Amino acid sequence: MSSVLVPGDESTHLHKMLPQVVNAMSLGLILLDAQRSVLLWNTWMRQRGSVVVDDPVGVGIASVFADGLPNALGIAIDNALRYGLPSLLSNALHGAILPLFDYRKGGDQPERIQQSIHVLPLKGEGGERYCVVQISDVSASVVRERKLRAQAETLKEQAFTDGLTGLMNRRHFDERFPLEFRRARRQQMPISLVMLDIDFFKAYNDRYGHPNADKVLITVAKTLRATLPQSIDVIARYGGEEFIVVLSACDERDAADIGEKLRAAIEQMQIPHVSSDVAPYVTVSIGFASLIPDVSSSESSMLARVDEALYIAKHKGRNCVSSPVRA
Amino acid sequence: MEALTEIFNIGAGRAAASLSSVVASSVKLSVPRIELYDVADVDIDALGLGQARLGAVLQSYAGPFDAQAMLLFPEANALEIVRDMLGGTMSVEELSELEQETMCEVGNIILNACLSAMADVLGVSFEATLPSYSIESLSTLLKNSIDDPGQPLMLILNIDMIIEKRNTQGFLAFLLSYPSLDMLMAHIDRFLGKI
Repeated sequence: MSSVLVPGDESTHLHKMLPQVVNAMSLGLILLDAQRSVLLWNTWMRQRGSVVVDDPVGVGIASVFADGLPNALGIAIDNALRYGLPSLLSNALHGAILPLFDYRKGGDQPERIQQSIHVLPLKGEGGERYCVVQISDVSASVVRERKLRAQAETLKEQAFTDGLTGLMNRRHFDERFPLEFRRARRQQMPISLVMLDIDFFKAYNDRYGHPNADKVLITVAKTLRATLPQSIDVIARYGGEEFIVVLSACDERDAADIGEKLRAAIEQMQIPHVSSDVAPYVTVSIGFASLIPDVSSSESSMLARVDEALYIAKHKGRNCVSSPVRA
Repeated sequence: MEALTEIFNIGAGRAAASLSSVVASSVKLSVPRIELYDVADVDIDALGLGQARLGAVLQSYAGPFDAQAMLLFPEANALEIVRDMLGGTMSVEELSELEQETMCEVGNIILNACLSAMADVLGVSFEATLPSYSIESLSTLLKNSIDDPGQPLMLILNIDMIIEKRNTQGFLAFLLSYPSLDMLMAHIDRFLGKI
């Protein structure tokens, strides 16, 4: 250490200053000898450590804390003293490993400090081994990362969810459908799409106003969710009053059944709609398309087919379910 | 080479025991293959890691031979490891400070276990730096090392790491300083002479 500074008085000076430096540091320092006895326990440690001895100095490190020495720290100390190898104990894997507390926070129940620990080997003049354990308080980083992660997840969810109905939005659907489609192709399983459109929704909007139209969209979304089997998770608001559902492992007959169930469920809600030409309440037109994808089939052509099926359902007089015409 | 494989498998066993206790689930490690290259001949493409960016834990060792050890994990694998341990959803570039520290610890456990096995078997000892974590493309990582004329030999260990039912692969690259390969081999010969 003394070789760092100019020789003479200054070096003695340094010698006198070192204990102050060690005690002024804002991290925990413990120095152990080859027998694992504590040689140094700095002020930071004294202020925070919950120990079962009057003075840790001179005591074996295993006897200092009420619960003994954590296993991972024991291995790290062993690596330093036996092999001269340094180790680190990350906060993510070890958390608040030692009983260190921030007595300024939490009142009667002080908070346990989140730690990040380095265990470093040192060599004495005669070649004997020592080990310094350096402990940093990373509580603030842990809180910050937790907050950032929670925010990131909220933003991600918002970016993928339709704000009004809580269903997936179009962007999320565009991301999920190709995945489901490719999986069906890989597994050679049928996949179906069901597309719904609320009949005469523009007329509803004009007659009942925007707030009520929004309520209809919410009710239709809830009814779809409640009518579909729990296992179906890709339900999206596809456009203004259009919804789309991906039915994995579902063939044409099942898709037709589900389509009819959805149509009937909306009809049964009996939401008044005097401006509709089909019925005095809100109804939906439904198109569906099914296939077992092969190399020649594409997601976009399947979307075009379900769109065509919906067009046919509207053409047939609405409030009905249709498949696309056969090619 | 067989003796080295043996040593590193002892190390892998120790590392697996430490990792298992740290992540509270069963971790298995094995070193199926070791290759020694003259760095001038290293064909980066032949290592099969592509040009993708890698998570690398680096540690330098000094002792009877000097070594720079790099533990490399392809992006997907590094992520799987951290995810298995922490349940995060970040990409390698986004690995937070605390997650990088975790990668360092995982690397440190594996590297220390290998070195301590070597120390025990060969009766030698090392001094080492603390691990650091960086994300680089393999070519950059290797070029930095290859450009160092003092370390013309590279020992590459393929490591299979199984965390419960997940299977991940990593590479451990030791760059050895030049006169030291002879020393390493001399130590190994001595070890072989004993058994």
